[in-house]
Amino acid sequence: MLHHGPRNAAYALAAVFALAIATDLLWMPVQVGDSLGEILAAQQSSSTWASFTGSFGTEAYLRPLRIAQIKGLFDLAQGSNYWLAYRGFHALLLIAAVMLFMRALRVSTTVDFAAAACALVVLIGLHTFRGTVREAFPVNHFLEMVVLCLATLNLARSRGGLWVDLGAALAFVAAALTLESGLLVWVVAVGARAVGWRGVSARGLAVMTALLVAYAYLRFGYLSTGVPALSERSAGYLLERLEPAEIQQRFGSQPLWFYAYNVLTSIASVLFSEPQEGVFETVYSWMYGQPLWRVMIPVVTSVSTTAVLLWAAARRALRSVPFDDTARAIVVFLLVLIANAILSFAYTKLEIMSVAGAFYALAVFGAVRDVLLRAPSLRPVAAIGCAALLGTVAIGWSVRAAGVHYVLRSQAVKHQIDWVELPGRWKRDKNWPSNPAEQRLILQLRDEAVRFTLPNTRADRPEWPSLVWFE
Amino acid sequence: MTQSSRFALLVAAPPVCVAVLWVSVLAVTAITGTHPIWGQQPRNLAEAAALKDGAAVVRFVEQREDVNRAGEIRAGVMSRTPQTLTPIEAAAAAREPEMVRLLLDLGATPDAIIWQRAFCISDADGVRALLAEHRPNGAVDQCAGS
Repeated sequence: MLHHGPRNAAYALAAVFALAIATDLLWMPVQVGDSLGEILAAQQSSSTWASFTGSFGTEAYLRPLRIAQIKGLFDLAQGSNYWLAYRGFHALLLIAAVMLFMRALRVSTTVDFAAAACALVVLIGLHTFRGTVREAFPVNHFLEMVVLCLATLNLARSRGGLWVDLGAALAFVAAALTLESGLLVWVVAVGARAVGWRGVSARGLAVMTALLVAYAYLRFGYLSTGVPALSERSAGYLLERLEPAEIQQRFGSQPLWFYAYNVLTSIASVLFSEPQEGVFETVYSWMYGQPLWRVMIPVVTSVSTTAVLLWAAARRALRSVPFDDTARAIVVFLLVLIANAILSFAYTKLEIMSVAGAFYALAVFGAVRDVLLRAPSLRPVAAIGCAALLGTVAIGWSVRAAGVHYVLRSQAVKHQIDWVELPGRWKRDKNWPSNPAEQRLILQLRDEAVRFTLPNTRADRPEWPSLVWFE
Repeated sequence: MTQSSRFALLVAAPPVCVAVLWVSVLAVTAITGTHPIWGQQPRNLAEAAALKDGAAVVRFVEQREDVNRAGEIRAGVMSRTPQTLTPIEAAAAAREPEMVRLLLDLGATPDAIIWQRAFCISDADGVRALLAEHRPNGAVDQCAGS
């Protein structure tokens, strides 16, 4: 029987979190790094269509919709509301992601609500989520991937129909033409159907597969767009960050080892919160006297939660528990995790694994629900152990989730400082544009950024937030 | 309360508390204008420089505050007692080369006395190197005890 109370409470909790994070996003200027260049390019472009077609033929990426979106939002701002257009879109995406996540959980009982509350802080507290809110270029396309993958999962769990198939196909096209991670939409649809969530029909899946083949032909055949080179970006490796030249020097002759390291560490980062972006932060912090709380809280909570997830999976594998929605969520998560990590072969980044992070939280919902249903029947000693584990998981993830506010406040100040310093720096470096229209746009964006009165996280007081959370 | 409810409460309470706390922090900030954790807001240009708040520095300058004029920095911002410093001295004391550079970009022109005080108040190499590039006539980089 469906109880609306727990379901409504779960949606209310999701709405409170979503609105809080959205407010924090809106309380932040548009960023400079990896963003201003795109905005200036949008200014130069004659139309959204021109931006779309103009981005075909780049060497390593096929992301025409990414560029087109930036131009579309630029035009939407109508020359005066850039912050509102870009940050407003970011906030809307965030709200969509959180609400779609909650919808996918199908909460109906009090135990479901408790598990959903826990899953929600796992979603928000996981370090991969930080990548979806900390930056925007000027749109956070990784968050778009999360939204489109969660939307596809919700479609797969629906009753189906022509519109569902059409929606899934459109989600795939939009995602694939925005970022390479968009191919995960296809993985979600296939995985969901394989485990019995059949909202997307066989016909719909066939269309999506045909679109995937068309994408592969377009990218590798027709346009000859390659894949990112080994020396494309800096990357973490064991305890250090390597610059592109160092990566080329160390792994140029044996790139497969480097690619395998990236894939394996991407998987481990979602399951154990270590290593992060290829670097073993806990070992590094311990060796170099860095604050340990901020690395230990994530590792302890992630290891505990993954243990709960393994227990729930093992119960089903070993004891013939029916193949229920929890099992389905775990299988889909594993497929998404592996596929997401493979797509991250060239370099590791928190943001890239954000889809896997969201599906990890979905799987955790079922596992925590399992524990909650089982715990009351345990013997006293086991029940105390179970309560300690659940308490650690719930409190730990809540602390991690609260850290997002710190991350966003710190990031807002950094973006603002970048704008404050930009004109002077560009003039000194002879990078100041000669085009008056570009100058006006930069100064307008700077004025928008400077107008924000932000809490000052740079004053180094109080000290405790930086001991508990990474910025 | 049943055993099952206790376990559910144990799991649900921390996330609910965080959500309420988060919204409360934002609400308090919106109503009072002061963040409960990071509540220090500068009252003048010198304080803005001391607090490394570049945007506030720009806002004060746009409000026609004199970039060379000394201002009182409240107790607790830089030290236990109030101090009166020019913005560039405050930026130097905060060991913040980018703030010194910003003030120079915004038109700060320290005279020899102010320049020497700023130079000697900071032990940050970046600040001293930057000040050395903008040394006014008659200023010396000799500090007492150095």
